Amino acid sequence: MAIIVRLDRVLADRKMSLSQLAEKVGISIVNLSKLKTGKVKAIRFSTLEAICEALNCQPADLLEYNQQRTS
Amino acid sequence: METTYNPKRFMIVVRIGKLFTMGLMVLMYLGAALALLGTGIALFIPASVLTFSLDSINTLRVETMNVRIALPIDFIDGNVMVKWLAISAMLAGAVYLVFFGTIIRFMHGLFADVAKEKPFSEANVMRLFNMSYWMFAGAVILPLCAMVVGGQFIRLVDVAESSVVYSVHDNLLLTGVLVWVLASVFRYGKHLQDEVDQTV
Repeated sequence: MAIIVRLDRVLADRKMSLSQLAEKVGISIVNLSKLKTGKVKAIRFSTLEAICEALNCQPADLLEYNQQRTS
Repeated sequence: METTYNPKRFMIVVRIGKLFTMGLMVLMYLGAALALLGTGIALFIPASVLTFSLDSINTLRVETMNVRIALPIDFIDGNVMVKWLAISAMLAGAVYLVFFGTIIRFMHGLFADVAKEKPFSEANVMRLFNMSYWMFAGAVILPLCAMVVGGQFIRLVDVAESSVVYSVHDNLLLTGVLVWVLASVFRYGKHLQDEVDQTV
């Protein structure tokens, strides 16, 4: 997948753990972990909105496009 | 018109279906086993013992194209040896019971997966495809079994100008096509389910 999720980087910047984010956003740690490791195919706008709100960031801070990884 | 979905009622129907198919499947396989046992026993019984008197039969009822005809067969009398008719009928019965028992087994698997709230599972897709192939095979094989039994019957009553004819079981063939289409729909449903499962 050419889209890379940079959730780990943003979490490290905010000094927040995955479980704290899960609690704030209302998504299970399992799903957030899948998102962090890039094991998901899609993300809902509502999920993205909730994560951006919790981490006080922009969608572009979480997602990155890498042309070399295009499948 | 808006349709309503009542999950509670749906699950009750699914559970009833699961239980019903389980019972039916066991009965059919048991019936097939008994028919095979009967065949085995009949093989060791001398043909002269297994006889049937045709004297009491005055009419032969034939049903075709929604018309029931009662043919007078007064000219048939005497005792006939029914050993091979009985054996062929029991073998054909076993084949029919195994065939429909297996269809019911596939249906039971479908109900079980739906009860687990996983209707669009890979197993269900495979079950439906296998069920359709099984029906295609049955549409060809089952009339052959009926033909063998019919042939034995004609040999016994010895009616002039009688013959057995073979034709593919068209209803089963059409049902097989419908189940194949349903399997394709379920395969697409599985693809959509995967998409939803991999979305956060």
